[in-house]
Amino acid sequence: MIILYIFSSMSIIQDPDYQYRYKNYTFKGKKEDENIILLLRRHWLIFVFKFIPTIIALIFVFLIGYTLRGGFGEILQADFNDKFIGLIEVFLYILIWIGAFVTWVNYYLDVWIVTDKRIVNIEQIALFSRHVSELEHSKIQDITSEIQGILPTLFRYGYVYIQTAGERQRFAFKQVPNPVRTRNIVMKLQKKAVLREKKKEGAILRGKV
Amino acid sequence: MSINIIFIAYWIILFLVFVMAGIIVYHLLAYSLNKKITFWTVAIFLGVLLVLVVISLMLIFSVNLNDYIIYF
Repeated sequence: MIILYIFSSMSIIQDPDYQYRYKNYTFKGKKEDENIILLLRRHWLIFVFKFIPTIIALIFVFLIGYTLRGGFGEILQADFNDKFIGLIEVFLYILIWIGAFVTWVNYYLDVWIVTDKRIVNIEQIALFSRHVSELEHSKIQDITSEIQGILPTLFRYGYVYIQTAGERQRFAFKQVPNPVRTRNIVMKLQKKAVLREKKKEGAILRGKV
Repeated sequence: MSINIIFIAYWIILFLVFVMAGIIVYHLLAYSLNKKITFWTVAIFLGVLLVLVVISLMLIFSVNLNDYIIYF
């Protein structure tokens, strides 16, 4: 646990050049003049938790195969051909591998993107269930970050809730690393967007546009 | 006429495995955020899957499945 904590702390290095960090990243509907500022996934610990059943299944299949081949003595040895046991075992490994990748796809494609223009929320709920929504910075009313529980406190992950003026009341970044930093960045972007809109309104009122 | 149930079940499951692999690869390619990461993810996924499928093919053709034949 301590090693995991140290690793977690090391991964939260404040990166001032975050604009350049995501230069190789893109997403559907990205505008040409749009820059990705933050790209957030759930914390890696969440993936580890989701991956535990796969590891248990892997150990279970290995142990069953080992037992049936007589690895724990002849009492537990089954009256099967070794190759037949191997065939069943390999098939179970294939299914576990597929299952592990379904878990990975669900984790990897579940992403929150903060650009300099908007926030894009892509939620991969299951393999055939995908929600995409977006929000302009100027529509943000307030932002709340929440870290609740022992593990979230130790590993610094939690929720960021964004209150909007629109139809959708709450926009949530779920179990993202360093929610306080995320909140601060989104807050700065919101202030910039509001200022930009006010300047535009002022220009219209003064008859400059 | 004779049917080897294990042999037929093997090919049906293998077909389903490839369908599932296709769906996973489709998702990774269609919703890719980073080309490099997507390429390596797909390569690792298909590489390991191919190795396991080849091992299973070697085993299905070498194992004696006479006990599972149904005669009509």
